[in-house]
Amino acid sequence: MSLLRPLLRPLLCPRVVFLAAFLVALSLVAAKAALATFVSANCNYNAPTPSPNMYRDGSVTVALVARYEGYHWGGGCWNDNDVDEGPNEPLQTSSTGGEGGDCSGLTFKVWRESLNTGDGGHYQWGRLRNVHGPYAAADFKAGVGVPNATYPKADAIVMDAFASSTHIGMVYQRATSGADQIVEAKCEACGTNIFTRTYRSDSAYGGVRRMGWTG
Amino acid sequence: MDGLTALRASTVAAAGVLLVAGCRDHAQPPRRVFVGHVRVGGVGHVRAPRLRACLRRFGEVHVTGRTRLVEREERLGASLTISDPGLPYLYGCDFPPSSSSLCGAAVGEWRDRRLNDPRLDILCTDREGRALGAAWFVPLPRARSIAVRERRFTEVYPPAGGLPVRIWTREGVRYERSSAVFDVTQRGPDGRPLAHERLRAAVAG
Repeated sequence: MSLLRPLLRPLLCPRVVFLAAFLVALSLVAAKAALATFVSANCNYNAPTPSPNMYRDGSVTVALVARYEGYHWGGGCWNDNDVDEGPNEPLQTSSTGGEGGDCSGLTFKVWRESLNTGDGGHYQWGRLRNVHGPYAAADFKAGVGVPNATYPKADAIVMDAFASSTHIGMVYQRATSGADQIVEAKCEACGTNIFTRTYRSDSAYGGVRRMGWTG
Repeated sequence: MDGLTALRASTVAAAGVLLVAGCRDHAQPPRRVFVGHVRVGGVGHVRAPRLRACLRRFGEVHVTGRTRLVEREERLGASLTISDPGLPYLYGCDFPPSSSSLCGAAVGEWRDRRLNDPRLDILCTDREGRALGAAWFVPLPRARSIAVRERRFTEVYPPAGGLPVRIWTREGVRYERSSAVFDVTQRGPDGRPLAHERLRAAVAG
């Protein structure tokens, strides 16, 4: 043992300890890279671009970019390749960092809302900007936030929404059958798409309008 | 490797060096402890204006003799949690302290003592306009108190009514990311810690 002591002494000097700590940190970084999620690998937190105008047709285009890009509970980041790059995530788990928005995150982004609930202006969020916004479906249903207001369902038109306490979807097209084509982020298995729904006649749903459209 | 990750790596390395060097522990100011008030029961047990405000928000809720109500008054905020054993939902309304004006609300799926999600709400603010986070926390069956730690104080919530506990944070809110972290310690009947966790919650659904 006494022979080993002189050999071990250099290992305890500060430089070696620092190097060891540095290597540990590097291995942690490498492990994190190996476990990268869609959000950590692709998304950003850039500031939105204020825009003076907002047209319903333009918001339809924003919504259609999210189509086929998947669903992520609490999510708000997607690309535009029509592939869900975070499929089969655990249900209602926000921490997995998958691709897509959830119902309220999609609505927030398509309606170009501000994080400031008192601001009714229009803000263009990049599709890779990871933002959900402060509202859940129940908040939209109640018309919470300056840009949002409850609205008669019978008068709802394209890019108005129907919201319940647990879900929200936006009108894509009014169908002749009395149902509507709704663009919505529905669930992990069904993703974000256009679905035929009868929310207009469902008593659990109320009408919601984003105020301040230019046209 | 993004800037944040590089920063984290440097921090880990620096922390290792400081640990080896043996840095002195700075004296911490004493943290104050606040114990919240809780009322459990039916309609007659909670403040009527708060219940009315909550029922206005959730028109689908009909209070009956089977409805369980838990009203909490804490330092950061007050809340009302409503559960009807016949429905798979839990309804929550959040209020500023000592106020009956609703500032936030939440709905969660509540089945077999399991909650689908903490149902974070970040729409309430304190007097200075800083965002507050409120979320449900499901206590362990043996837990007798839930302590949520902030930098300068700890808020203690007694579990009640067999329902999730609506807890609050100010320092844990990451408003830009619509999320919050709660530093939660559960203690048993003998006062010993049963579990400690950092509950991460995001606005969702």
